[in-house]
Amino acid sequence: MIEPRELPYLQETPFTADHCLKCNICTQACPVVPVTDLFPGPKTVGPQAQRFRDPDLPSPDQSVDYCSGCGICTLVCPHGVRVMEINTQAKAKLAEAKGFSLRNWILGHNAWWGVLGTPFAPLLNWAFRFKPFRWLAEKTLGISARAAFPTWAGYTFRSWWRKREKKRAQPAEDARPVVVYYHGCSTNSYEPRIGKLAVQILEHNGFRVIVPPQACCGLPLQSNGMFAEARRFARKNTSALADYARRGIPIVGTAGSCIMALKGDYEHILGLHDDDTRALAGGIYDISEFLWGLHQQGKLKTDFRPVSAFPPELRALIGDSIVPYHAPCQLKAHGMGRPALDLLDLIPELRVVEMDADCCGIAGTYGYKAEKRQIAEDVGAPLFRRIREIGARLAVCDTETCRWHIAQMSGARVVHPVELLASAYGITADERAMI
Amino acid sequence: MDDLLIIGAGWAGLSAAAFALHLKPKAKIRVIAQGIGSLVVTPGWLSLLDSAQGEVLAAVRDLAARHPDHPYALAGAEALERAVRLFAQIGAEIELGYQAEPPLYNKRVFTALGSLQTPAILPYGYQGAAQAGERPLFVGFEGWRDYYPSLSGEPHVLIAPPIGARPWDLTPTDYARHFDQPPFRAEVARQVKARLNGATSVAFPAVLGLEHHAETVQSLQDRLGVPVFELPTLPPSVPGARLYNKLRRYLLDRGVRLQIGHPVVRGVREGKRLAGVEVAAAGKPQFFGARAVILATGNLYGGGLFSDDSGRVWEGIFDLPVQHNSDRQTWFSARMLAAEGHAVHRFGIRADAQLKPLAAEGAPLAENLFAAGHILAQPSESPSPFETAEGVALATAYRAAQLALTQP
Ligand code: SF4
Ligand code: SF4
Ligand code: SF4
Repeated sequence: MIEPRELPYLQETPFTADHCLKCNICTQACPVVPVTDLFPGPKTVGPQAQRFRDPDLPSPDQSVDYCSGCGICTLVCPHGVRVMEINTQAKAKLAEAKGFSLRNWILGHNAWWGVLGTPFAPLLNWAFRFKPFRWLAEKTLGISARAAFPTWAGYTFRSWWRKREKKRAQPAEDARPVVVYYHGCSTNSYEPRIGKLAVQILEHNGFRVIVPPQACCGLPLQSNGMFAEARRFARKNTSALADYARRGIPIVGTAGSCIMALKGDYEHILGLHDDDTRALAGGIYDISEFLWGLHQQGKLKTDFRPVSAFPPELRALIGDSIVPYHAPCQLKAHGMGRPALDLLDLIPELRVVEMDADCCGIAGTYGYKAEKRQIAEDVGAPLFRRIREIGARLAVCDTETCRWHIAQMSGARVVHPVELLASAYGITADERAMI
Repeated sequence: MDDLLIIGAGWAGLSAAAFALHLKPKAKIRVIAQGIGSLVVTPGWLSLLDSAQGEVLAAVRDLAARHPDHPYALAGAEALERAVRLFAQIGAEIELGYQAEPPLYNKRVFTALGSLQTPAILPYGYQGAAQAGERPLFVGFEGWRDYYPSLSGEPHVLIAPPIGARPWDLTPTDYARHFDQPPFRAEVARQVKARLNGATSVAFPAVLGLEHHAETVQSLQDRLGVPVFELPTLPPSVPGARLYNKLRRYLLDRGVRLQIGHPVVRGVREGKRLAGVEVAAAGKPQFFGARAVILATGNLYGGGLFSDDSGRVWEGIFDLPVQHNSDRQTWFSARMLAAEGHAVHRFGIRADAQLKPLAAEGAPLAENLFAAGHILAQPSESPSPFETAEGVALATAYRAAQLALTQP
């Protein structure tokens, strides 16, 4: 090893503002700036306004609320300013000063609604597609009537998992290496199939999967400024999972943004610097990152069947087209490259191409807010246009709200990378079934 | 494992990736950079040797012969010509101009402060300066704090195109996005045309379109009936951003991985070779293995070198020795815009004739590590590094890519 160099940075989020040269590179790259007059851009609301922010006084800048939190500014800044993180902290201050917002409270608690809504799935799925209901929700709460809501699966991933564990004979001696699966709340309530596929892919590669108790990552709370509660969720996860990380048991998840919350946001946005937080951050993997890591060690099973042997429905969607891949902002923030793309490149006959769009626009709960809906649609417009120009009917993306948004706006079906990997492995999961 | 891993996404890094694609279309190429790279703060033209009087490539060969330790000499006699030909081919594909058919002669272009520059290769926007004629008209926008046409020359006019409520807050990029819209162009042309007053050409700040640059220049010329050209603005530079955006798509479409954000912090060695590099990623360091690595992180401005107030200068990833003066008094010339530049701009690492960076003992640090661009030291008596800025980046990028892809 060549000796490590300390990079000459002040590492704490608020102080990184001091590295700003005012070059406006972040302003040029911010996807929200070109589509609205309400947002002066990352340099202005970030490092510049930071000079006027007193930790004990409310935030002086209201327009920071229009920052979507996509994090592109932080990535493009050549000088190490954590612009998005500064903005997110400022937004929390602003939310605190403004007081309670029922809408943001509702959006922030998606974890609860996912679970509480499960028994009422048919009714809720109907209601969320019932225009007058959505109109009412927009008028009274400010939740956009145009935004695509997921559908409740009617059962949770965890309940599927419990049943499956009970049914299966546990071998007395199980020498397989263990991984923890972190499902996040969207997989739990809306897209259990992704969890089912992920578990089977890991098992196919020789792992014993366990699913210990865990909490929502807290990201929706964090991005809606409810830091205190977000920290409570964070603590639940760090105390439930840090020990696995310390014992060298990888924690693997399928929701790119949840994983990023555990990897980085807890420390750099929520300001948790304890050992548990660090241990978990170091021990959690996005599933593609984990599988690609296996491949680099020569340990990934590569018995992939070609696209021509995929299930007919998927094969038809792919057709002769390239498959556009959108690397969501939250995934770029991992700094791990594009492991999903690397993996998908291993599948014979599949041609996946990364789109050059920075952001799809939805940014978690941002595009669900009535006043920001148009922005969310306009930010993603170049991506949607490109998918349509390519003529692709299938696209790939690692994070859930981005998938729903891109699907709604481009008309393509948008899948998680594990859905294609599973088809290549010949693994299936019944969409609707508990078993 | 990648065939080629490039650290840095400025002129040298991105062109090394594009050249590598041409040299070996199936190669697995990855670019990793902290931040977006220097393209967006450069004027977007190519300076090969601004003081060259005759044919530029011949003058560069002459320079290389006189300064055997100049990056042009290290890159070898053929590298620059091959590099600019390839770059021109890509420039045509991405519809930005950059024609470069040798023999090459320097062009005269205007700056926003009314001086002249003489780069050799131009994107569309600057090309019209050659037909500026006797009486160019300098156009600016009312209320915009980033550009004052009266500093560029006379006669000048200020027009007031429809740009919303806060003209002072706009960046060059915001204007460029407006120019992408045909109705906006039409309105600008209408206002300028009314005040042409016999002008032989019209100069705008370099904001003539972001995504639809060629079309913007063409349509303004058609409407105004005289040549139209751009003057470089304050950063962020729109011509740089156009090139960055188009190159990004060009590279992604061809399977190059482009990772902007987290910095490479160290190399991982395996005997005499680098096994790969480590990135300071979220949560834990990420290792990227590669058969060859090109270091293209730039000098003190690009972020490849660091300095402190004691006069120490160091390279940030491999701790390569840096050729520099430790007396800070000697770093800068007395005049800011001195023609010979400043000594500090010449600081850099040393490399052998294969562009392999030299470690303290004077031997290559690793067999598969190459350097390109402005991280390479420039000899003290040679022309100012600004005169050769893009040429050095492209020539060394080409040579480094060639060597990196053919090493055993
Ligand atoms: S935050 Fe970074 S990119 Fe933005 S203006 Fe400051 S230095 Fe430039
Ligand atoms: S996080 Fe995204 S929306 Fe917010 S300022 Fe940065 S680039 Fe703009
Ligand atoms: S990011 Fe993941 S865990 Fe967090 S709220 Fe969203 S789905 Fe749930």
